[in-house]
Amino acid sequence: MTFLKKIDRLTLSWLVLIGLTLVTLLFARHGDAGGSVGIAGAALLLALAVTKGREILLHYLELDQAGPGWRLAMTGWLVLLCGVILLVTAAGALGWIGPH
Amino acid sequence: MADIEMTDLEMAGPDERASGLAALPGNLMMWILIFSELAVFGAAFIGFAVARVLDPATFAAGQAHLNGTAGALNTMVLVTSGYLAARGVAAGRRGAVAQARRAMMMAAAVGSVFLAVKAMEYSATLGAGLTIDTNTFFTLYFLLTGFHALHVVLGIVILLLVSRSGPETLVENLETGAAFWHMVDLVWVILYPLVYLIR
Repeated sequence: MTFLKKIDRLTLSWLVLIGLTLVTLLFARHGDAGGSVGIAGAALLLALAVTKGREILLHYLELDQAGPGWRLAMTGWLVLLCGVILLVTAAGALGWIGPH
Repeated sequence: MADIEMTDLEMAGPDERASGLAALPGNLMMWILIFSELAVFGAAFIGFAVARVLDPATFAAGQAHLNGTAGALNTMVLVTSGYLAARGVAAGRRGAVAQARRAMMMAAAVGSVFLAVKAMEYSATLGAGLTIDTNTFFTLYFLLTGFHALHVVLGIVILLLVSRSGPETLVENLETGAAFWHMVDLVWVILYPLVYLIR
């Protein structure tokens, strides 16, 4: 923990971004191996994307200093976009939409 | 006592910004561009998700040809480059001009690694006979990643240009260039799982 206290917020963001990207590597497919990641897998991957995007918005783009309105609008765009992607993907996986 | 409090309020720190549009770092015009880019990429990503649901077999077969590890590597490349650009902005604000310029040039250099990896991916895909005409998956793959890669090229040029700004405009230009670069980064962290990983 003392190590974490010594690094600044920006560096922490970079470490978080690298760490979360390493997690996504578990889902990288090699050749034809591996079937669907399922709705839960898609949800996890999109949650990781939202978390990464939020780090970029708040600490790279400095929206943490731009007031609650901008924070809400921009993270809202991120959550809404990934939420719609998840809904569409889930609707396909459940057979609600798609080829019949 | 009241006087001292007033003085404290007036002497806001350099990090405290005004409200509204002035609260955003860099030039307002760049933010208008960023908003429109995010809207366009957002619509295109939803379009990709819908197209996949309508033809899951074609998308699964196409995705099997992509290199997910290269995509993850490129994510790390972009977030590292973004980190360097953000450090460059911070250095510029501190008045460390040489350090700021160096950080921006390093950010551009690291950013160019993204293009090298992308070129290798494209040459592998095209070498396997898979082109923008092959099927819906590859049409959307080349359009989305190609459009994003063009933004990477433009971002690198912008980073190099702002690193050469004169002292009076340096900080605002660094903030403006870095804001564009972070937008390119942000788009990629959604594009990567959407196109390479979700199946």
